[in-house]
Amino acid sequence: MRSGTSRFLLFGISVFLCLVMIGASLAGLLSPIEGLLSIPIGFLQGASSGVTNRVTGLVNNISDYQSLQQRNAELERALIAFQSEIVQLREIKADYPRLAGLLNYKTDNPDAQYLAATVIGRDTTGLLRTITIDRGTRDGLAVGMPVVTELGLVGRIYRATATDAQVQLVTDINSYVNARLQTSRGEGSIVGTPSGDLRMTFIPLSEEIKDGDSVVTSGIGGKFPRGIVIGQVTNSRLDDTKLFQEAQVRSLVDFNRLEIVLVITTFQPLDLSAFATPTPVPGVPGQ
Amino acid sequence: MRQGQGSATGGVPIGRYIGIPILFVAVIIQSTIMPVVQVAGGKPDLVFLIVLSWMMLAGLEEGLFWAIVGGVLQDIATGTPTGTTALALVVVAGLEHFILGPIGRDNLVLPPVVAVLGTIFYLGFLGIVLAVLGRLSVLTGPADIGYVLTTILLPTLIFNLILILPIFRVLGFAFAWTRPRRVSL
Repeated sequence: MRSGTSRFLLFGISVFLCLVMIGASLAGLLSPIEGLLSIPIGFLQGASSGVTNRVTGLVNNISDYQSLQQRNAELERALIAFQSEIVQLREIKADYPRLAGLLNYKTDNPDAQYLAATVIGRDTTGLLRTITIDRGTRDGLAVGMPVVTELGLVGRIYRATATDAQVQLVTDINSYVNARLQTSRGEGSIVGTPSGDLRMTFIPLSEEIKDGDSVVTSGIGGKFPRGIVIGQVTNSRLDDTKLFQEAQVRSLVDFNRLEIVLVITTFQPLDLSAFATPTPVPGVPGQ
Repeated sequence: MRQGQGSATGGVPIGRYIGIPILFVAVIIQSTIMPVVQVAGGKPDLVFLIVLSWMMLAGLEEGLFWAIVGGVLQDIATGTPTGTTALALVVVAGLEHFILGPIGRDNLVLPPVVAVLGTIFYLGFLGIVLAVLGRLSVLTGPADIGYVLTTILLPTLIFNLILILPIFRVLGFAFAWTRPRRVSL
């Protein structure tokens, strides 16, 4: 066993040797030796790095595969969500022109109050021309309220429940709307036909009817407010009795593609039932 | 025959020279595989642990030899001025020897303690040497020192603490193999 002095001496020599090596290395004196030693070290480092990289690459691939699977599942879920959102946005986009038109109509007619309603059903028998809307008495609707779009008159509510209402379209054969030619002011009645067209009847012979003339509600009878556009005259002729004229009227409303309508909630139809009861005349027996 | 000076077959200081291939392999692993397993900036320092373990097992003479060989190989592998790591290893291993001296290969308490304290001193000393040589310019303020402590020193410390006992035990068998059996006549 070495003595304490020799051990310190050995340690000191080692430290000194290291310092000398550092100095020589910095001075470049060890370059040949360093170059010689670096050859096998570099070779083995390269070989080891190759193996290491392959192993780590394999591990990373496995890890990447799992993360890719997870990512793929996430993206699929996101894609489904986006597709659903796109469908919704397309619907909104399709609704936009209609809603804008309805809004313009409301703005142009500030005297009345409107309630927008979505069409949720149509007559399935083919015999009637009606639609069902998603608003009812709970929303303030009542039987007789007119239904319109920005393109013109649609019909009137003929039955209402708490949550929905049914609208008789003006094209229904049982529909009867008092109307007026906008230019000549001649009056008549708009009735539906089995084919779904509109016909204006009982136009006095004295009235001049021009093709393209607009037809609006006259307000007579109290069932509809006056001035609502119904359509345009496409042609006219004498009726079968030769006592009146009648005209084909084309509505701008596409009744087969109605989606959103406006209900005029401030209009109260006139109750004419009082006139059905004969007025008692004093002195006349049996009354 | 003096301890560590030769093999059972006589004369050849095998305990000194088996360090060369061991350290050679350790340097290769240290420079290629350990960077893959590193956490933050810290990774196990195999060369340091091997040199320290051999110093604890075989004593000063072989320990210093291993320190110089391991340090030089590591310097060449990493491109630092030759002798830089060797100097740090020599100083730390020498300090271990002068403070504790050789310890038995069955001792499982002191190696972790030596590894922790030695790692702190080794990295600190190496940092100072590199800074003096102008190769370390990151330590410009308290923030940098804090960064080095948390991202380099702490992970390295934990790695070394975990690995010191396996390495010490394996080298303990190697140390026993290089020593002649005592024969009683």
